[in-house]
This record gives sequence, C-alpha cells and structure tokens, in this order.
Amino acid sequence: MKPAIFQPHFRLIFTFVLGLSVSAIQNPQWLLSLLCLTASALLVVLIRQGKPLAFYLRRALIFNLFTLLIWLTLSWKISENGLEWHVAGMHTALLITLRMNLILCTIWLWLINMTDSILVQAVSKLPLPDKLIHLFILTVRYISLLGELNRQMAQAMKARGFQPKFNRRTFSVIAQRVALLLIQAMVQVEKSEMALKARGFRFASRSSLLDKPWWKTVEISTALLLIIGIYYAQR
Amino acid sequence: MHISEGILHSQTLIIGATAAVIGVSVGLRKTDYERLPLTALFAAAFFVAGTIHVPVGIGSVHLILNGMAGLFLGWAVFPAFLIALLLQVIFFSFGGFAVLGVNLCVMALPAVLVHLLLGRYLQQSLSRARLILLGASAGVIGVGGAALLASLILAFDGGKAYYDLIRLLIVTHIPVFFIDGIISAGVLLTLNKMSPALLRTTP
Repeated sequence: MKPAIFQPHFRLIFTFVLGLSVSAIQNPQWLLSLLCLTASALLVVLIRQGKPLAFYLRRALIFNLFTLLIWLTLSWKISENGLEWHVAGMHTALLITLRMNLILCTIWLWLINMTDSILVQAVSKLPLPDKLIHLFILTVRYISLLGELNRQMAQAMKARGFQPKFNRRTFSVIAQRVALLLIQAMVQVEKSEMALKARGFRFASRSSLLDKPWWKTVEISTALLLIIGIYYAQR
Repeated sequence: MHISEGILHSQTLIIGATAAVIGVSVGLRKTDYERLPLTALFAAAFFVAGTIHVPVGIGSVHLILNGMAGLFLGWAVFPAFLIALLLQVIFFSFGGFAVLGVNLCVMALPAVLVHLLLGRYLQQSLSRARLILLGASAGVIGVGGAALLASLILAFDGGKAYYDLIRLLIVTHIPVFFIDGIISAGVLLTLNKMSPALLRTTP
C-alpha cells in the first residue's frame, strides 16, 4: 500500500508547488545540486520500473534544443569593441537552463505512470468546481475520440498520396481537416444530446460558489487588486 | 505558444496564476451545464487540431488556433485551455505546472478579445470576402495577441535581460502568425459551405 502522499492528486499539487519553489531559486550552485539529486532519483526510478531510458533521453535532448537557442541568444552582445561575451546574459541563460531541466526532471519523477484515466481520477479529487471537473472528464474522453478521427484522416490523406508542403493546396487541405474535426464534434454533441433526452436525463444545475450573485463582485475586486499589485510591482 | 518553466520569477507566476483563476471562474460562470458537452468537444477538437503540423522551410510549425477557439467558445476558452495546457504539460512536457497560469492567460486573453470584437459577426450571414477577413483577423489577433502578451510578461519579469528572448519569441512565431490566419479563414469558409449551422453555435 502506497503512502497517501503518492496519491495522484497529491502528486499534482506537489509538482505545482515544487515548480513554484524552483522558480524562486536564484543560486546556480543550489540549482545544480538539486538537479543532480533529482536526475539521479529519476534515473533510479526509470531503471527500477524498466522504462525505456532512450525515450526519456531523446525527449530531454529535444527539450534542450530550446535552451541551446536561449544560450545562442543571451550569451553575446554587440558593444563599441564589436561582438563580445555577455556575462550577465550567460548567467541568466545558466539559471534558466538549470531551472528548466530541474522542473522537467521533477515533473517526470512525480508524474511517472500518469495516464489520462489516472489524471481524471486525480483531478476529480482536487477541490475544484463541479463544472470544471465535468468539463475535464468530457474533454479527455472526446480528445481520444477526435484524436482517433484525426489519425484516420491523416492515414487516408497519406494513402491518397498527399504530401504536406508550404503551399496553397496544403493550407486548403488542413483547413478542411480542422473544419471536419469541428463538424464531427458537433455531430457527436447532437448524438449524445439525443441519447440523453431518450433516457430522460437532465443536467442538474448544482448550486456552487460560482453561481452566487456576489461571486461576480469577488472576481472584479480580485482583478482590480491584481492590477494594483502589478502597478506597484513594476514601480 | 508556451513560456517554459524556469524563465519567470515566482512573483510573475503568482500574478499569472491569480489572473488565470479569475478567467477560469468567469468562464465557468458563463458556461451553462447544458453547454458543457459542446464546450468539451470544441476544446477537444482544438486540442487535436493543435497537433497538426504545417511544413515551413526545413522545419514545421503546429497550429495554435486560439483566435478560432475564442470565436466558438467565448469566455469558456479559459477552462477549455486550462485542460488542454494541463494535458500538454503531463503528456508532452510542454510548458509546466507553475507557469500554467501565465500560459493560460497568454493563450486565452487574446481568444476572449477575438470573441468580444468579432464573435457577433458569426451570427450574421457573411459574404465569402467577409468570412476570409473574419477568419484571418481571428488568427492574427489570436496569435499576435499571444505573442504580444508573452513579450510583455517577459519584459515585466526580466526587463532588459529578456529583450533578446522577446526578439527570439517574436521571430519564431512569425510563420505561425500568418499560417494561423490563413487556416482560420479556410476553416470558416469550409464550415460555411458544409455546416453553416455550426457557425451560429457561438455563445
């Protein structure tokens, strides 16, 4: 029996808090130490669970192509003496690289084996509004349906010898593909509405905080406070 | 368009998360229970459409279509994009948890702007030229607004240190800016031909 701390909804919360905490660290030595620690823990977990290391390594390399672009952008500057190294920029690039990789390892470590069904269960245990949880469950379900349809359309296009290029024909075909996805979505809604009506189902409009008349005032006052906060933070 | 984890400071992340919570709250309040399946299906359709790649030069770009989503979903883009972004973090490692609020605002605020500016035109019957203009505007405002907002956030967070990053962000999104506009216009034209009723389902 796993401790409660490893339950999927707690793992989601921890990953969020850890991401926020890592973003606050400014010391590269600290970040490097934490990265080594997390990467080692991740490696042990991946080996113990028999996960394909090459897959994770490849994804980490692809992810770090972006950090390479950051280094290429921030590490130099043009001054009166011509092109020269930009020490402050390199420091920023180093911090970003370490933070990004640390958070990536943290996400992989904490959310290992997280499938869409586990995610749905985890989200439904979080203290979120009913409507959001319903929307989440429906969206995850429909993504798998429409994803399958999209895959079939891609296969059919391939079978007919369609090769995407940067031209008008490709734009037209892709626009049609997106439109068909939307039409299919609409057809699905009509079908499910008919099925629900046939079963005499009615959506229960449960009362929640969001439906209270004063909630709008809370939203507006929070937004105003936020704007004032941003104004002072910038000064 | 994602700002990666590790770039922004905690203060910016908290501001972004608070703004996102307000947006999601408004979105949920404005979405009736009866409309949830439609919202979920459009959210899923736009999520899947976002995985379609268009070749550009030696690489490719993926569609964003946040402007189009704004046209069809209105304020419901906030909860819809929250779900899409969360799934992208977990399954594709795009973006991150702490930066989720900021990324949600970057994607959803321009979409809401598209809805407020252009949403009412979808209720009317439009000529071909107007549909093209509407779709292109939705794409341009959606992606352009997202790039502008992301740039403002980077400038707010890092000041001059991030100016080069902002240039990098804008340059890499120029092709998406045009392609999203073209595809959005094409989608509206196709929908108008094949299923005009769908255009009237906007909130």
